[in-house]
Amino acid sequence: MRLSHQDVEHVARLARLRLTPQERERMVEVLSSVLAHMEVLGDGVSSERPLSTDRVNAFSGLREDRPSRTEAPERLLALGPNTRAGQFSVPRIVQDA
Amino acid sequence: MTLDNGAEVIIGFEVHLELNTATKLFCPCATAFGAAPNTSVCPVCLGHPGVLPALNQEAVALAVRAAVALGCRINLVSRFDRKNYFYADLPKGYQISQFDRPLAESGSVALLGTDRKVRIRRIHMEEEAGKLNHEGESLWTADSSLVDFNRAGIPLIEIVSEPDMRSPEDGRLYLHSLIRTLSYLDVSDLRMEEGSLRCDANISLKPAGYEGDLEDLPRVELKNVNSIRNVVRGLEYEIARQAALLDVGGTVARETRGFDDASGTTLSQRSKEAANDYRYFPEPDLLPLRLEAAWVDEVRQALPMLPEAWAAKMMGYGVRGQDAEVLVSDPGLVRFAEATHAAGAPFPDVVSWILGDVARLQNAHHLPYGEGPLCAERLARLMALIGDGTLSGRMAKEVLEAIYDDDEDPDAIVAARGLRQVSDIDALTIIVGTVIDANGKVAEDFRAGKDKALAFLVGQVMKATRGQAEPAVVNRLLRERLLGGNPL
Repeated sequence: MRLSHQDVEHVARLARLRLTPQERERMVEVLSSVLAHMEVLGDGVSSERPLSTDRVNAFSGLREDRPSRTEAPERLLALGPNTRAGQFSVPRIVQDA
Repeated sequence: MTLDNGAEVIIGFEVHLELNTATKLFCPCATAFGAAPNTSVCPVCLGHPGVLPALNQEAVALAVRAAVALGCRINLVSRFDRKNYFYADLPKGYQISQFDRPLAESGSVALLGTDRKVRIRRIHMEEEAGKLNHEGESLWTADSSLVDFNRAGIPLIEIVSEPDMRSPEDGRLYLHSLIRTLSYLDVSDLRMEEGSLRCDANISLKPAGYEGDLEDLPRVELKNVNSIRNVVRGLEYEIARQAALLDVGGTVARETRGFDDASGTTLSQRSKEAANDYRYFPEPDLLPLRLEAAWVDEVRQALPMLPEAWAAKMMGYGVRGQDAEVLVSDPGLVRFAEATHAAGAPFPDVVSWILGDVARLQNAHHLPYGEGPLCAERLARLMALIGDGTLSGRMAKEVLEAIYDDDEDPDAIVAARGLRQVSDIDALTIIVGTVIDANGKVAEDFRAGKDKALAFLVGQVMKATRGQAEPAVVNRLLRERLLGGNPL
């Protein structure tokens, strides 16, 4: 599958990226080759593993619903670029029309 | 609902439900409501690089429970996908959701009081976003926002209906019916005001003669309205707004609008992104969710009795249909009625007491049914004391009030207050005679045809017996004595 310039512009807009014409040109090539490789990969992979009955219970591999803490919240909060009153501070959400 | 211009109203809902788990969907952070901001967060729910999600099994169990109760087909293999969009409450830049392989499909909700059903298209699992606190008077005027990620990652199910509703009233019935069923399942708090249940309504107008796909009609999504009443108000406003646009030859934009409670209007928030703008793709960090058919059957078998079945059971015991409907609107009421019945009280009487004085007193004391001084056993015993003639209806009400005041068993209250109905004919006959002798003029009035005079005499006998005489017996004895029936 080959992407068009419009496709790349559209994806860049959704990703909040501003591309120069050179970057846009390069991305058309790079992303198209990535997608082409995906198609090659897809050809070699069976669509779904058949449902097996080798499971010991319905939830094997899932996590038990038991709370635990992995890291002090203050440390995590301190990693934010701006914080205030125990919260992460971000610029205004709504853009001017 | 068809408008003057022949257009038909088309409504569908997406209901988001926070599941009652102890931890988040993909990390072990606690889900407690009301904690200090950003105290229940970890690198996973904050979207730090290199972390891996681990699916919460209880969330899966609750989601499947809700889905089977709504008659859905459970997909034994479902998959999680990344839904990509930018917003400050979404730390990863994507939400882990389910796209083309949802957990469940093809259910239905029976609309209360009708013989119609609304089809459920799908139910899928996904994670909550964080909470934005805007610094300023409103989202539009805020200089900046503060983000609390305690809510980010809390498990949700999204229940997507087909566009089967044709009026705001249908929408109201759908939400009430859905919430009623869900309230029996203990899968969610279902509190709209706290945000544990949120609904988005999709509304379109189908012009007369339109033969195309309903999905292709311009559609407005009414977002996050916090009460059923406001959903109805928002829908009514949107119908009028869209109809007015179409009447002057305008077009309805496909967009998301918010409901403004103060003005009762809707305001444009953003043009609605098409599904492919979210660039969904399979979540590479999670295996497909595989469920065993036998386990799904176990969940189905373990479902509690649902409101429709309860109403049918109550009516089978002789409870009026209307009372049964009121009773099953609250699972707490049903459980209390069932427990009282199990303690030996007959069903129609149980329901009439529970919907009457018990409801009044529980509400006055702000108590859920079955909690507080009135347990099912005490209510059943109270009713037995009426049944064996120990207490009159009036006395029973006094005992019921005393149960709340004194937190004692009915027998103890009856003994302490000397409340025992006097139905001894000989004793009552003497009192009746005394009352008639003392009120000769009134007795004459009654004999002359003034029926109301009898009530006064009954009152005098009740007073003389401190309210403990059985009124029906007093009435009969007075009539016999005054009208010369059987000599006493």
